[in-house]
Amino acid sequence: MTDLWRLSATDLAARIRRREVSATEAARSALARLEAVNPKINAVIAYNPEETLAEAAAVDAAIARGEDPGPMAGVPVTIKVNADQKGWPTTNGLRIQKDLVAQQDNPVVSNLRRAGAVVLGRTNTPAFSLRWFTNNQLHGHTKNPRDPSITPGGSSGGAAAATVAGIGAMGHGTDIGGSIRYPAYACGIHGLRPTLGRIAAYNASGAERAIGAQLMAVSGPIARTIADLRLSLAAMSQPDARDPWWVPAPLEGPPVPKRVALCIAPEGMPVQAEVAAALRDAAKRLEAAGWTVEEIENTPPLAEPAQLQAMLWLAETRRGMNAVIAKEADPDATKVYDYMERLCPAPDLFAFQDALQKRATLLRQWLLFFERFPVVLMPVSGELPFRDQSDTESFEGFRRIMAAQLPQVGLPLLSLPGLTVSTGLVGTVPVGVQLVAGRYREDLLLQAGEAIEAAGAPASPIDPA
Amino acid sequence: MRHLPALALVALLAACAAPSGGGERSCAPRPATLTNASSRAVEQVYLGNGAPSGWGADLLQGRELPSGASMNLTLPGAGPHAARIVWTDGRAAELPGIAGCTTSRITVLDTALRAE
Repeated sequence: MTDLWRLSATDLAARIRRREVSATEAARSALARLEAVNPKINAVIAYNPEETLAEAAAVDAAIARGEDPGPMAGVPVTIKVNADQKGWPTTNGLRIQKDLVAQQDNPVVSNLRRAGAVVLGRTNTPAFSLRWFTNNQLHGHTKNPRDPSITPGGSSGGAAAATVAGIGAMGHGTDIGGSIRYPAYACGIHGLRPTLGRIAAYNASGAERAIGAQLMAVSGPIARTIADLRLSLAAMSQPDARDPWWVPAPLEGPPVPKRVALCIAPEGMPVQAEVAAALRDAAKRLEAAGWTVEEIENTPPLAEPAQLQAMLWLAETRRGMNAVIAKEADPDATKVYDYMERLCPAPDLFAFQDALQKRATLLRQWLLFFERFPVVLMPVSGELPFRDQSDTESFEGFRRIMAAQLPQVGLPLLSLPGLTVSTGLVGTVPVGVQLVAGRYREDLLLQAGEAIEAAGAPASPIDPA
Repeated sequence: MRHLPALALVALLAACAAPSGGGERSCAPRPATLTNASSRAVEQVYLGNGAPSGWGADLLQGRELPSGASMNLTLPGAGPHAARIVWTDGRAAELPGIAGCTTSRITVLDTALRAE
C-alpha cells in the first residue's frame, strides 16, 4: 500500500472522500512519519497524537453518516505556532508566551477544520516570527531537510521544513516580509502569500494587531504541489467575521492576456547567476505553455515600498516592544531588531502620515503595470538560500541579506499576492522564482505556477539529509 | 478626464456594448476596423470571447496604434466577442458583447470602447 504521508493533499482528500482509505489511516501514517523524521529537523515543536486521531475519527464519522467531509477531508496539516489553536499556547517562538494558551481557534484553523483537514502539530518560528532563519530559545533550531547547512527559511521555517519532509501535506504560514515565500524557496517547495484580506485571521489571545501588521501580514499555504496550494487557498479563504479586513473576492477573476513580464533584477538589485538562470528557465517554461514573456529592465517601485514596509513594521517595536524584546532576550532577535532599527530611523508623525499616503501612489503604479503585464516573473531572493544563521554575524552581512530579499519585503506594503515556485536544485540547494499579480489575482499566479511546475520541480517529500 | 473606478468602468462598458450576439445566427469571419479616437496611443489590442480561456495574442505584436490611426481586424464569426485594449500609460478598457455578424467598426474613446 502507498505510504499515505507521501500523497499530495489533493490526492489524499480524493481517496478519503471516495472511502478508499480512512482519515484515521492517513493520520496514523502522518504521525508515524512525524515521529520518524522530526527529531532530525525540529520542524514540529508540539503535537498530541490522541487529539490528531480524534479529529481524524470525527472526519471518518462524518463520512460514515453520509455527510460531506469537506474538500480537505482527512488531510493532515500543520499550524504555525504564532496562530491561535484552541488549547495550545500561541508562543510565537517566545519564552514569555509559553503559557499563552488560546481559548479559541484562529479563523485560519477554523476554516481548515471546516474543510475537513486534521491538525497534525504546531510548527516552529523564530522569536517574534521576525527572521528568515528559524531558531529560538523556547523551541530550538529548525533544520533544512534538504541541506542542514542552509536556512530552512523563516519565519515559517517549521512549516516548510515539515512539509518538504512529508510531515503533513500542507503547512500554514504567515508572511509580513517573505515569511511564507522564503521558507518555501529555501526548502524547495511552493508557497503562496495571498492578497491582504483574502484569508481571514485573528488571534484572540493577544492585543489587536498594530497598524503595520494589519496592513501587511497575511496567512497562507505552503505545499509540495501548486494544486495543493489551490485546494488550501479555497479552504482557508472562507468568510470569518472576526477579521474585519476579510474580502469576499472571487477565487477566479476575469480573463486577462497570458502575458508575463520577466524582470531579472528589480531596482538593479544584485542577482546571483543561478537565480537569473532559474528565472530564464521559468520564462521558457511559460512560453512553452502559451504565455507571452517579455523581459523588462525594471518593475514599478520595490525599494521605496520596502523602506516604508520596514518603517510601518518597526513602528510597532518602537511603541513599547523594545521592553518586550529585552525581556525575551533572544540573542538572534535582539541583534536583528537592532540591525533593522539602524537601517530604518524612527519617523516623526508627518513621515508616518506620508508613508501611509504614498502607499496608494505606489500601488496605483503597480496596478497600471498589471494592466499591461498581468503577471510578473521575478526573483524570490537575489541569492540562493543563505547559510544558516548568517543574518546575525554582522551588520554588513545583514544589510547584504536585506538587499537580496528586496522582492519579498517590497510587496507586503502594496498588499499584492506573491507565489514562490520551486524550479530546481543547485547541488543540494533549492532555487526557484516568484510570480506576482494584481490584487486578488491568486488565480493567475496559480495558473502560471502550474505551467512552471509542470516542467519540473525538486522531488518531494524527502528524507532529511 | 477622471479615471473611473474599474468596476464602474466595466459596468459602463457593458451598458454601452452592442446588443448581445447570443441570438446571432452563424456567419463567416468578417473584416472590421479598430480606430483609435482617443488622445493617447494604444500599445496592445486583444480580441477574444471573454471566457476564462484568455485573450490570446496581442494583435499589435509590439507595435503602437497612435491616436487617430486605424487597424484591420477579423471578427471570427458569430459572437458575442470581446475586445481589450491597453494604452501606453498602462490604463486599459474592455468591451464585451460585440456582435460578430453585424459589427464593422470598433472605436477607442478616451475611457472606453464602442462597437458599431
